Amino acid sequence: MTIERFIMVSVFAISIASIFYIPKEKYRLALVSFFMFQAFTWPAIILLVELGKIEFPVREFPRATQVGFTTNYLFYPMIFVWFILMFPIKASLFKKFLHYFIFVSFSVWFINFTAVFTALENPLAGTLFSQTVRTYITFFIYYFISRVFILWFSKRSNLS
Amino acid sequence: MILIYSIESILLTGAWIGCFIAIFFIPRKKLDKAALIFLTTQFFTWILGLIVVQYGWLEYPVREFSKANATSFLFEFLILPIISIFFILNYPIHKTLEVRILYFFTIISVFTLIEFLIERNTMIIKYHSWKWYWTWISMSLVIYMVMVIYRWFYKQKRIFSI
Repeated sequence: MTIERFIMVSVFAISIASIFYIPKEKYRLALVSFFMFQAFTWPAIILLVELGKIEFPVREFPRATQVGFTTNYLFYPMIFVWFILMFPIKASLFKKFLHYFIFVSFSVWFINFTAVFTALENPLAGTLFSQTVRTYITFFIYYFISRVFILWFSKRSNLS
Repeated sequence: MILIYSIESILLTGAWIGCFIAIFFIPRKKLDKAALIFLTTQFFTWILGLIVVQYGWLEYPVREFSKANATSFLFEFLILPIISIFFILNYPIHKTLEVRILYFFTIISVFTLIEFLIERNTMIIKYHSWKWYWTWISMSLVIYMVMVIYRWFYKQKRIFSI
């Protein structure tokens, strides 16, 4: 088994397994967070590949798309689900920022790891540093907008 | 490319504009429900669209993001979710079973027919081993699954009924 396939399978398994740790009363909140973040990663990653910023040499659907599937479809949305479920609503501004920073860093350094050590993802433009800065900024924006949406949605739909 | 205003680009541009106009016809009070339906639909269409193209059952010769993606981003991310929004929000849930079946049957058939005509006359979509009734079946299944999730989400009764 190559390192790429190992990461694909384990990322898939971790995402599925973490569903069982979601408390039952939070299912609806988790579901809408998951879908919301998917709606971000999909167009964003297609745009990045189309503009030639990243490539995915090893991927799940080589004929149908140039975009890596499992990470964008399951893994990053799942990280966002846990970001929402564990969000410290009553904490201070600094702790909230720290919460953002930890979860965003988790996604960013996973991307960096795959970019450096595997053929799953390959940045085509810029240095590793500029790539890191870019992913930090974009993920912060995705997380912020998605959380604003989730706040609006839970208020309208009476989610706990 | 000599012929810039081909029938394909006219149809695709029209569909993009139509989708953005359609968003303004969603009732403001139901905006959260519409968002849920939209997001749920794209969860199914993303993976199904990839599988269908990966196995070569059909292809989209003229598409947007043609370098990055061989599936139809417009259809999967905008058209079908928006159809699904209006389909489910206007579903005649309190009418008799006959009315509901007729509603389901008519709307899915109209869109299957439109796709069939587009397949015949343009290069937007080409069937290989795909048949028109597979479009009918897959579209009904996706919309039905979204409807089940929608009813479960809003704690309605009889979530599996048509």
